[in-house]
Amino acid sequence: MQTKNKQNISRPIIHKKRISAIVATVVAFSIIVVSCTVYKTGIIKGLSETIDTRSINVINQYKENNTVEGTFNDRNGDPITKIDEDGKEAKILYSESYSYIIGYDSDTYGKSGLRKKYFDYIYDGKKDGVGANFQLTTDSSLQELAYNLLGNNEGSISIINVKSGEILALASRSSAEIGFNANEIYNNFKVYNEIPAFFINRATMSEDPPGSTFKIITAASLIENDLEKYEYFDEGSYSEGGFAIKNQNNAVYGQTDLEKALNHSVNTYFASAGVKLGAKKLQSTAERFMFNEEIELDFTTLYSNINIPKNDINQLAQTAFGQGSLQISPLQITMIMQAVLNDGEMYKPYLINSITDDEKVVYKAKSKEKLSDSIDKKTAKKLQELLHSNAIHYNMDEEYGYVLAKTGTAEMAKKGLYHKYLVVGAIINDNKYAFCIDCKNLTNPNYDLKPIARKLLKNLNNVMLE
Amino acid sequence: MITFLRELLLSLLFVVIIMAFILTYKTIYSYAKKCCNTMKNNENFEQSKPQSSNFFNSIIDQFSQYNSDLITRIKTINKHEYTRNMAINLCSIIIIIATFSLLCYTSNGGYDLLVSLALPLLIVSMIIMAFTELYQSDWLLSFLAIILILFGVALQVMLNVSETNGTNRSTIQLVIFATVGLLLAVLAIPVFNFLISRKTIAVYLTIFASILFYIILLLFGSKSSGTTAWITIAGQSFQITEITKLLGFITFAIMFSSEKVSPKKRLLSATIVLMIHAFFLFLISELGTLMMLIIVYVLLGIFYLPSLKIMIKYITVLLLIASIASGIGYACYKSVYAQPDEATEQTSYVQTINEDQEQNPQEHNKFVVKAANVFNKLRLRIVLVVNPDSVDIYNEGFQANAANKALAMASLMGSEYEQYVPVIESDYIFLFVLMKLGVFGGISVILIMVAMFVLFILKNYLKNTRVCEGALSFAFMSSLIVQALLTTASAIGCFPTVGLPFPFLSLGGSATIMNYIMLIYIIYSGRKNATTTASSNTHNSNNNIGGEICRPKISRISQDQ
Repeated sequence: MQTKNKQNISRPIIHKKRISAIVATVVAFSIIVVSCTVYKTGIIKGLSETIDTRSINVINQYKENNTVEGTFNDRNGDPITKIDEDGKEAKILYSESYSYIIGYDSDTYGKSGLRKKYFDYIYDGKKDGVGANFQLTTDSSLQELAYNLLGNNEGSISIINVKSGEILALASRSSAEIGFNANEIYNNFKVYNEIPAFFINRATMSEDPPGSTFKIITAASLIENDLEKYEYFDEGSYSEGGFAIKNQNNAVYGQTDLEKALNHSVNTYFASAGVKLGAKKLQSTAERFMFNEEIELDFTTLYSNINIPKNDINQLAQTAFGQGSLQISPLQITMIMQAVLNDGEMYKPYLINSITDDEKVVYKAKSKEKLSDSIDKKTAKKLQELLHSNAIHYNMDEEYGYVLAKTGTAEMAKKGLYHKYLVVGAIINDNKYAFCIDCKNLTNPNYDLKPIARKLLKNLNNVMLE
Repeated sequence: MITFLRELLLSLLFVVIIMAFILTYKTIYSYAKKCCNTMKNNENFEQSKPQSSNFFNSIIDQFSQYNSDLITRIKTINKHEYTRNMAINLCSIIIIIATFSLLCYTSNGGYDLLVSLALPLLIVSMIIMAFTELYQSDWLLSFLAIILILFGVALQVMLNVSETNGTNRSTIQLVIFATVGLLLAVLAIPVFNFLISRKTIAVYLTIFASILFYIILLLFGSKSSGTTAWITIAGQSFQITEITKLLGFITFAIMFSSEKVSPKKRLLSATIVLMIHAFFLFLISELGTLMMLIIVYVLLGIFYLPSLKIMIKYITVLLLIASIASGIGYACYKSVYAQPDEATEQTSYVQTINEDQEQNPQEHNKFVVKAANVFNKLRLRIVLVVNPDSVDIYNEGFQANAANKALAMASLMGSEYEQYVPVIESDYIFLFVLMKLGVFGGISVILIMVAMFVLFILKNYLKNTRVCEGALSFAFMSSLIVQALLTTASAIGCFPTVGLPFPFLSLGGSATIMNYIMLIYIIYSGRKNATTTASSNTHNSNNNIGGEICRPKISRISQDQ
């Protein structure tokens, strides 16, 4: 029976090649699926820019949707931002004075300030649903005061704790007509956007000639190079190589030494002294004050420029008194004063003291991070004396503490407009401060920033420093 | 803690149910055997019809042979080796469960839930391994399947505790379906054996049953996700198309493997069956099942027809029919759906149905509306792959957009973020794997499926001397692998959504049961005796287990023609 069965049944066929082909197809399809998975998840960065961007956007969007922004507090622990009533968005309590620092966050218009830079911390996407908390180095009352002192002027005030590098205030205003309020970004964005360079923080991103505040560096270079006793007879104009440099208001100062030149901001003296020094020495000193360096801070990057072409006496003379191709931000001018007051050591300024998440400190700022030994102690001491003499000359006497100061006026590209600076250093009750006030687009070259400085000096003592 | 105790109690209750089921089965079997013996005695006495011609006797015969085979195996097996292997299996499964529990623990919790399910999971896994060891089937194939099963439960546990993607269905439900599937699978084997042994009856029976199920669906089916593939009984939905799909596989396997019938006839009859299924599946808008049937039909054709020329001809004709159907569908779609204005057409491929037209069906024939809907459904799915940005992400493109977001969040070892994706527990489970276990986990899952397929071909299919049984098990295995790969491809947006669950990973009732039935049959078809006894010249009762007579192993190997 069994044999009969066998005989009746034809030989079953196994198509080995077909089976192999099917198996190969399945394996090939699996490889394709795996490859697509790897490609589409974007785990290998750089394979597709679109997918990489999409991944970042999706994750950021997720974080924003699932996290309430962490709060910002000032150095005293006082809140700068507060979550609104529906528990979703954070509002800046000092809306205008802190808007450039904190920045805006909008689905439509993007992000700026710390909200952009520290997005991953602010919206950490963790399950507690609350982002990290920031403690800034600023003092909110001082910040508010600084902003108010600016009035309607375009400009900035940056204040640094000399001993540590902490930024105590960083006020900025970009328009005489309207102040920046990040809380109102949805309502005012179009108005803001019509104003040129409105979203630029003037204290850190405005790069203009420093005017006479650069004379501090020229003076430092003279002292370093044993030219502190250099004297020049001012006849109201300095001419060398077919150009003429004049003093402000065409003043004539006669025989002028370094102290007198600084007190009266004598352009002709510094032009001739610069030529005497030479481009190399002047540029070398400036570079030790971090000119031509990208200074990476915890919230922005500072840029500056000094470029004195060889054998170009005109450029050298102009640079020596703060014009020419010089470019610097007001915060870096403050850093120059900080270095002078700190016996030549320039510290990196910082804005964020610490970042705390789930009661754990996830970031702690480095205090006293040295950027450069700008000048030696002796030179610094001499400069301090000279700049203190300046301060006395500016009526910032002992009433305000031990004060150093230097004014500056730079001509702007548009004729008839001026950029005024006042950089101040102060030792008050063993605390050291440096600040720079700058006002732009002024029509009056004699606009006086000293009253602002005096008010600030009177209030600096209220800031609690460690 | 309360949840843990609740799930633990349910698990214990569940074990009791299994025991009760086994006892009931034993009682029914004894009763059936008694009836069978009585009937046989009567028939012998009457000497009327031959034994095999009695339909019910034949079924009971198959059950009887199946049981006696099982008892013989239990008696003859090397008990020492069996115990040792089972001990190894037990340890391995415990390690896997512990690993997945740890995975849940390190992921987003739910490990306590998985631990509370450990006992029934262990029983389910051990039943599969015991079955494998008893039939001396390929150990690795079964073990990979168990890894996948446990992986699936772990995923569902994670999903259950996930706030974003959490499903309200208890994971215990998944285990219950798994067990029901397993028990039904063990019972289904003699039924399959019967169908294989009675090919003509089986073909008519499966076709008739399929049509019956489709008619039931058309009459009583409930609409879900655009299809009418579901029927709700006592609050529980069952996807009847899973049964018709299984029946379709059986029909195709029998038809293609019937070597006595000429290839032309085999192909023609199979094609007619496919068309019947296609017609009904079109009516209920269930394109995923249709796709699986077409794929299995093509694969079986490639495997079992002596020449591919005729197959290619048929496929060409089918493609032609599909093209004509698409053309008709497009025409219907154009006539039913509102014409988009220019602005809409520029920004979106998606068109919305004209409400007036939808509310006034008298304007269009029902068939026209149906064809338009099916065409639109298909078109939308293709557009979502080709140009997903053109689809409104708050409506038709919502799911695809959410899936894209989940993909973007995935990393190599899982994502710390969560993204809500509709039906992530079933159709898009692969995305959840990517989210929780990363690309590493995703690749592992695909590798397991591919390894199962390759192992099946090498160690099971090529060694199986039973043509029809081989065809049926191949249909099942190819269905599992194709389903897995297509689900994966559609989850990552490389293939239109097919609406199919990932075997053993996705949450599902009917699909889970069917997957278990297919898996157990795959394991069963790889049993040792089917090959060893076939090579012997002596007749052995085991030779007939499986409904068909074994061919000599040597005769199966021949070159491709």
